[in-house]
Amino acid sequence: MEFDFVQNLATGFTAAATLKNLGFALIGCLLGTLIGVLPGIGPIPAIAMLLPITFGLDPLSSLVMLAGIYYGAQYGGSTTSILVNIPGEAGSIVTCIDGHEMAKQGRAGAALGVAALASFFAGCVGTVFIAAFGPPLAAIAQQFNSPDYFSLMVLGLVTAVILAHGSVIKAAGMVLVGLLLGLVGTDVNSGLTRYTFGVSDLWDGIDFLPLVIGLFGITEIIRNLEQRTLPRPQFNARMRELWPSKRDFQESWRAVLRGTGLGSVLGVLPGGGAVLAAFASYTLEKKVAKDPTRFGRGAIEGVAGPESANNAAAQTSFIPLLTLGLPSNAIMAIMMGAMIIQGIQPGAAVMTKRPDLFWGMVASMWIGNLMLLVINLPLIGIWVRLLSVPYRLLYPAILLFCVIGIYSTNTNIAQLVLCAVFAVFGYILLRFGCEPAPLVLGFILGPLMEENLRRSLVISRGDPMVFIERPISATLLATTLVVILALIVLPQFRRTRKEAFQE
Amino acid sequence: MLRIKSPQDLGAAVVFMAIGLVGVYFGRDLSFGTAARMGPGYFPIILSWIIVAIGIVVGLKALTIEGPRIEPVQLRPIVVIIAAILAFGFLINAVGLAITAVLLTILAAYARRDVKPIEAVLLGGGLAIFAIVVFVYGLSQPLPAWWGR
Amino acid sequence: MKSKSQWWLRSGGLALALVAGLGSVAGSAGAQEYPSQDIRLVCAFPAGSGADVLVRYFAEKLRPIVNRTVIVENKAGAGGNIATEYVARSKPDGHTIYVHAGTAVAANQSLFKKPPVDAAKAIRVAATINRQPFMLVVDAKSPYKTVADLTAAMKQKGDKATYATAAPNGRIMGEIYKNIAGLKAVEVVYKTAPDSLNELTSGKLDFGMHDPVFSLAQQREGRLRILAVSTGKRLDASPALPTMTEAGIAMDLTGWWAAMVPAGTPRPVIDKIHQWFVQMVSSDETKKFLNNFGGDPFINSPERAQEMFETAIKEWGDYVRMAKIEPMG
Repeated sequence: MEFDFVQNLATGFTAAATLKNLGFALIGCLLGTLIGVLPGIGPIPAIAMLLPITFGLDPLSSLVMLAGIYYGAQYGGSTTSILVNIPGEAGSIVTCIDGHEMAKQGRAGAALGVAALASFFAGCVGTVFIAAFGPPLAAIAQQFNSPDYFSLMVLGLVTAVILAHGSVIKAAGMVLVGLLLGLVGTDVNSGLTRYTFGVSDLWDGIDFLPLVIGLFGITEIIRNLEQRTLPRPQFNARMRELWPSKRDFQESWRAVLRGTGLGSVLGVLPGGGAVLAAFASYTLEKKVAKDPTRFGRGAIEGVAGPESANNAAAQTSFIPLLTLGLPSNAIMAIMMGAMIIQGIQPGAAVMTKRPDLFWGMVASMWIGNLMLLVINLPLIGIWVRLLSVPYRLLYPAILLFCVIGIYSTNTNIAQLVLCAVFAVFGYILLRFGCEPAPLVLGFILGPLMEENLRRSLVISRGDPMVFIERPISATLLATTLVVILALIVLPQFRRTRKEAFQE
Repeated sequence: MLRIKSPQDLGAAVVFMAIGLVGVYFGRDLSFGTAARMGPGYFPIILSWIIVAIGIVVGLKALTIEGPRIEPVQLRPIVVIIAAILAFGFLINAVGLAITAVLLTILAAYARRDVKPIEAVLLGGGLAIFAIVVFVYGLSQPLPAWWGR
Repeated sequence: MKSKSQWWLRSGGLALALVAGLGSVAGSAGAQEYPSQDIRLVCAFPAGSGADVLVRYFAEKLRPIVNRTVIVENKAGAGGNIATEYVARSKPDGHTIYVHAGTAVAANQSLFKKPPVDAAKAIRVAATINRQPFMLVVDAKSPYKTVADLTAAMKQKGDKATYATAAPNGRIMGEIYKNIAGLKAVEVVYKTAPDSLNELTSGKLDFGMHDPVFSLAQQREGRLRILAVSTGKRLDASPALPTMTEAGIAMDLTGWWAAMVPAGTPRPVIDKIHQWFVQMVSSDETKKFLNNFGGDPFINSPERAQEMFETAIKEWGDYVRMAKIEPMG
C-alpha cells in the first residue's frame, strides 16, 4: 500500500508532463512571477487577476497553469520582499527581514538564489508528502478543535516575540497592538462594530495589503529618501555574485531542512498555517544559530528557512483541499472555485474516481516548482540589475505600483488613506525602535485567537479547563510555556544579570 | 529630576500607552460579558489594558536603562510621499490613471531636494504608459485610464 | 539660459497636451449604442473569495456575448453595503452591473441600522441567476436520519444542544427551526462553514445550518449528512433532499443571485442585460456550474424579479426581527 504512491505519482506525471501541459505550466509560472513581482500585488490578487485565462482550458491543463501562476506569484512576492522590502503576502514578511538586508549589502543574487533553491527543495519534499502522507496528515488536522487552534495561536504569537532582535518587551507590545488592530471591524457574534469610528469602510476590518504596504514598503521608501545619499547597493555583474556562494550553501542547507519540516506539518492546518510556519522557522533558525546577532543583518538562514517553510506549507495546504474538499486559506478557496468551475469537486472522491486528475494535479505542483526554478534562476540576473537603476528613478515606480496594486484589489480610496495612515505609523515606529513584523503576525492571528477563545468557552459552557483537557491543546500550551521560559525569560535574566554586574 | 536615558524607548512607551488608552476609551460602549459568554468588549479591553501596562514598563525602562537617541525627523520625504499617495487616491477616479500616474511621479520626485523636473516628467510618462498597458489593457483591472469614464 | 521653472512648465505642458490628445481620442470613441463602453461587474466580496470566482466566471462568459471588455471590480466591505451603495450611485447606463445575492441586498436593509440606500428605490433587478437553499447538516456518524429524529433529540438536550451557523441565512434558518420546534439550542457563530467541520465531526456540535457548497461537498465526502433544505420546494439539482417544510418546519428561505442595476436605467438596457444573462444561464455549461455550486438556474422576467426583490426586503425584515438579530453598525 505504501509504494502505491510511486505508482500514483507515475500516473500523475504521465498525465501532467505532456508538452502542452508543460507549456501551460511555463506560461503560468512566467505570468505569475511577473505579476507577483510588482510591488503591491501579492499572490492572491495575482491569481484572481490571471484566473480567467485558465477558464477555457481543459481541467488538467487549467490546474497545471493555475499551479504555475500560484508558485510564480509566491516567488515573485519573495523577490519583491528581498529587493524592495515589500511583502506580497503574510508569509513573505519574514523574508523581508534578512533578505532585504542581504540585498542592501549587494548579495541580492545570493538571497534570490537561495530562496529559489530552498523553495524548490521544499516543493519536492512537499509533493512527496502529499502523495505519501496526505490522508493521515489530513486526519490529524481534522482533530483540531477550537481550543487547539487557540493554543496554536498563542504559541505562534510567542514565536513572533522571539524573532524580534530588539527589546523583547517592545516586541510583545507590538504583537499586542497587532492583535488589537486585527479586532477592528464587525464582531461576528454580536454584529457590533469595534473601533471603526463610524467609518463604514472599516466594517470588514483593516485590509492586509494597505497595512503591510504602508508599514513596510512606504516606510522603507521614506527611510531611504532621508539618507544623505540615496542607497546604492554594490553591483557586480559577474555571474559568481549572482549565485549563492559555497559558504552560503553550507550555512543554509540545515535551515532548509528544518524549514521544510516545519512548513510541511504546519501547512496542513487551516488558517494561517503557512504564516506560522515562516515565522516559526525564522525564530527556530535564530535560536539555533551559533551567532544569533547576525539575524536582522543579512543572515542567509533567515531567508533559506522561512522560504522553504513557506513553500512546503504552500504545497501541503493543498492537502485539506484535495483530500477533504476543504479550502484551508484564501488561495485554496480560489483553487477550489477554479476546480468547481472545471467541474471537479475536490475531495476524496476525486482521488478514486479520477485518479489521473488528482495525481496529475499533484504532479503539476511539482512541475510548477520546477518551472519556477527554470524561469527564475536566469531572471535573478535581471532583478539584480534592476537594483542598480538609480534609486531616484526606482522609488516613484515602486510607489506607483504599490498604489495601483492596493487600489485595483479594492477600488476604494479608503484603502489608500489607510495605507498612508500606516505609512505614518510605520515611520513613528521606526523612529522609536519598534519592529513591525511582530505586529503583522498579531494582526493576522488576533481575530482568529479571539474567535477560537470565545468559541471554546461557548461550547464548553464556560469551562476553562477545556484548554488543558484536550491533548493537542495541552501539548501546545506546555510547549509555549517551555519556549517562554527557555527562550525569553532565561536569556533576559542572564542579560540583566550581566548588565547589573557591569554597573 | 528624571533623566530620559533612552529617548526611543520613551517614544515607544508613549505610543503604547496612547494606543492602549484609545482602545479602552473607544471600547467602553462594548458589552463585556462573562468569560463563558464573552461580549464584544471582553478581549479588546483586556488587551488594551495590557498594552497600557507594557507602555508603563517600557517607560520605566526608558528612565533607567540607556538606549539610542531618536534620529531627527525630516519632514520633506514623509509629507511628499503621503501627499502623493493621497493625491492618487483622490484623483484617480476623476482624471484617470494616465494623469495621476504622471502626477504621482512628479510629486514623489520632489521628496528629494535634488529634483530633476524633466526627468520626473519623462519617468512619469513612461510609467503611465507601462501601467496602462499592463493593468488596464493587459489585466482588465478596474482602473480608469482616462477621465470621465 | 532658460530658468528651471520655465523648462518645467514647458515639458509639463507638453506632457499634459499629449495625454489630453490621446485621452480625447480614446474617450470620444462612441457614446450612443449600448454597450458603448467596457462593462463592469461589481463584486461585493474581496478578490479571490469564493463569490469572486463566481462573478469572474460570468465576466468570462459575458465577454464573447457583448464583444467588449468585461471587468470585475471588487468593492468589498460593510457586508456588501459598500458595493450596493456604489452601484446605486453609479450612472444608470447599464455599464455597471451588480452581481450579488438579491436576497442579501434585501436582507441588508434590515441587518444594518443605517442601510446606505433604500434598496427598493435605488436598485433594479435585471435578471436572476440561480436559486440556492441553505441546508441542515449533521455528523454522518450521528444517529439522526430525519429532521424528526434531530428535533426529538434536541428537545431532550434542551440548552445543552449546540449548533453552528456561518451566515445570516444560516442564522435565520436556525432561529425559525428553534421557534417552530420549540428548541433551546445554543448557537455558535463561525466565520466560514469549513471552520465548523471539525467540531461537527467531533460531536461538539449537534447540527449546523450551512451553505450548499460546503454541505454538498461534505456529504459527498461522507462526513456530514444533509437532513433538509430551506427552500419551499425540492431542488432540481438535488431532488433527493427533503425540504424543511415537508419535515414539518414551514419555511421558504431561498437565496437567489441576480444581476442588478441602478434605478433609472432605461428599460431597453435592462432588457438587453436580461437577455444576456438568460443566454448564459440557459447554457448547459452554466447549468452544470450552478449545480456544482449547490443551486438551480433561476430565470425570471425583470418584473417578476423586481417583485421578488421587494417581497424579499419585507420578508427578511420579518426574519431578522424574529431571529432577534441585532442590526449591525
